[in-house]
Amino acid sequence: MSIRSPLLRGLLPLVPLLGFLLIFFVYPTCRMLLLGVSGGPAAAARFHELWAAPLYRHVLAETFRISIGVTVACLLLGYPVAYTLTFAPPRRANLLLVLVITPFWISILGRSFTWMVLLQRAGVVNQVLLALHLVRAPVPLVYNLLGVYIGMIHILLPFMILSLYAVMRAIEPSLLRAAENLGASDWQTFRRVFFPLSLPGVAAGSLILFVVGLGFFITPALLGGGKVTTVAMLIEAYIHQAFDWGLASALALVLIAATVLVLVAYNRLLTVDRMLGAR
Amino acid sequence: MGINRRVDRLVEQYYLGRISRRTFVRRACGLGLSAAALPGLVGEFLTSPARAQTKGTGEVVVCTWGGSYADAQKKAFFDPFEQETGIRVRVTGIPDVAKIRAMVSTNNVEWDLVDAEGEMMIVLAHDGMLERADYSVIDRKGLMRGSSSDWGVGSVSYGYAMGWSTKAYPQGREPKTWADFFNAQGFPGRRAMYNQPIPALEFALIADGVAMDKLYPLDVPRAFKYLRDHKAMVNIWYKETTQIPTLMRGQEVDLIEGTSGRLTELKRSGAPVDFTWNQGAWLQSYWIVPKGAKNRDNAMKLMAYYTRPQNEAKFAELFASGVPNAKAYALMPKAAADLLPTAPQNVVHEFQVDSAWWAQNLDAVTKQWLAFVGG
Repeated sequence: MSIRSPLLRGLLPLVPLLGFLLIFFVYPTCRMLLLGVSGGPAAAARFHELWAAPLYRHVLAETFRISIGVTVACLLLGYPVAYTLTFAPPRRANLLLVLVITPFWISILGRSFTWMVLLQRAGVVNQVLLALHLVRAPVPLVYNLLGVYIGMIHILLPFMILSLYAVMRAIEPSLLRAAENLGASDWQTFRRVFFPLSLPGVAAGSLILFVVGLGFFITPALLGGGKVTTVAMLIEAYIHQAFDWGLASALALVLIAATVLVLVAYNRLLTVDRMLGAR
Repeated sequence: MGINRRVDRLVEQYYLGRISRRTFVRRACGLGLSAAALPGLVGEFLTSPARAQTKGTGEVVVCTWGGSYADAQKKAFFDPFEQETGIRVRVTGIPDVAKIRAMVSTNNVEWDLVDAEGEMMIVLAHDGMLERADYSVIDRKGLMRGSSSDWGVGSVSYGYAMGWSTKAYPQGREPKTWADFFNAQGFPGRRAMYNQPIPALEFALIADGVAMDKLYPLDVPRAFKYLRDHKAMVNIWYKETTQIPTLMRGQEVDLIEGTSGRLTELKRSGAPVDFTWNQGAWLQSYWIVPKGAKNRDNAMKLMAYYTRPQNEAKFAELFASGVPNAKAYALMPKAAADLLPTAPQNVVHEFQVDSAWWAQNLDAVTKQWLAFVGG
C-alpha cells in the first residue's frame, strides 16, 4: 500500500524520531503525569494538600520569581553582547561566538561546583574584594539567593545571546543605512529601527529562558544552601526521598498548568505570535 | 532465645567492649558455662571457619553501587569467590527499589543478590518481594547485632558524625556533643547540616537530652521543634555529601553534620578538620535476594562467603566502610579499624539508625522536613 497524501509522504522521514519520542518521552511522561490524577479520592487529597499547605504556594512563587529575574538579567546582559556580535567584523564575531558557546561544553554540575569554590567565603572573588579593601569581611555570594542567580544566569545567558543574535543578524542592513540617510542619529536608528526589528529575538529568548528556568533543580539545590527551594527540587525530593510519586506528579502538573497560564497571559499582552513572525 | 544464641551474644558483647571481663565471666557462669571453657569460647568466636559448603556451578548476578566501592568488592569477595567455588559472578548496578518491584511483579528477576540500604530491604520485605536469608548456609555467628536480619546479612555500614574545623576549635576546645553543635554561644561559628531528615532528627533529639538508646520511636514533633528553634544558626543545608570537602576545605563553615567517610577522607588528606564518633549514627546496608531470583542458592553462598571475617578485613582496607562480622576488625590493622564506624572501639560511642522505624515514617517525615527547610 502506497501513501497517497503528499503531506503524509513528506512527514515520512520524521517517523524514526517521532517513534523514539513517543516511546521514550511521551509515553513515560504521560504515565508519570497520570500518577498524579489517578486514585480518585487520593488524587483529590493530593491537590487539596498542594492547595492548602503554604509551602507549595511559597515555592511556586519563588520558582517563578527566580525564573523571571534570571530572564530579565540575561536580557540586559545578553542584548549588548548580541548587538556587538552582529556588528563585529566576521573573524572577531566568530571568535566571540566561540566564547559564548564554550560554557556549553562543561556540564551544569561541574559549573555549579566551580561556582561554589569561586564564590565561597574563602573563594577567589572574596579574596580579591578583601585584598582591594573593597569589603572588610567576606561577602555572602553563595548558599543564598544571589548564588542561585549567578549560577543560573551563567548557564542560561548563552541561550539568550544566541536567540537575539539569530534575529539581529537577519535584520536588513540597508534599513539601517536608509534611516541614517534620512538623517536619523545613531540612537534614533537604534531606537526606531533596530530595536523594534530585534523584538522577535527578545520574545523568543525570554520565552526559552523563562520556561527552562522554571525547571532548574541541581543549580539552586547546590548554590542555594537550602535557603532556596524550587518546584523541581520538591519534585525530586518527593521521588527520591519521600517516595511519593503521586504527589511529585501532581506537583509537576501544577507547574505545567501555571506555566501555560503565564504563557497565555504573556501572549495576550505582548502578542508573541506576531513578534515571532507568524502572520 | 536459645542458649547458644545467648552465649554468642554474650561473647560478642564482651568482644565489642560493651561489658567488662568480670561481667562476662559472671554472666557466662550464669548460663551454666564453666569458667575454664571461656577462653576456648572466645577463641572459637574469633577463628571459627564458615560452616558453609560453597562449591557450586552456574552464575550469580550481583547488583551493587559501582565505582571504587564495587571495585573493592570485586577484589575482596567476587574474584576469590569465583576461584573457590567455580560460580561465575556477574556484577551490575544500580540497586533500585522500583526496578526490583517491577522485576518481581513481572516474574522476571534479573538480579540474584542486591546491595540494599536498610529502608530498601524493609520496604521490599514488607511487600513480600524478598527471599528469606538461608541461615543453614550462612554463618550468622560473629555477625554484630543489627548487622543481620531475616532478609539478609549486612553488606557495609556507614556513619554520620560531627566534624569541625581545627582552626576554629583547636584541640582541647573542640565540640564534643550535639548539644555543643547547637550551642552558638559556647561554640561561635558557621554551621552546615545535610539537607535530609536522617539522621538530623536523631541528632536534634540527642542535643535536646534524649538518650541514644531511647531514641526510637522518634519524637518527631520534639525534634522539629528543637530544629526550628536552632534553625537560624545553621547557615547552609547542603544537598550532596560531595559538598562536604568543598565546605570544609574552603572554611565556609566551622561545624558540620557529615558522613564519617567524607570526614575521614578530609582528615587523612591533611585538611584542618577533625570529627568525633561520639553520638554518631551508623546505618547498615544489607545483601538481599529478590523473590524468585534465578540463582537463589548461589546468592546465599555468596552471602555466606561475604561474611567470612578474612574477606571483610581485606575489603575494609580497600574501602573504608564498616563490615558486619565483628571478628573482621581484629584481623585488620588498628589504624584501619579506627576509621570504621562499626569498629568495636568506635561503635560503643554511637547508635544505630533504626531502618524499620524510618521505613514506616520516611514519607511523612520527609514532607515535614521539606516544609521545615523550604518554608
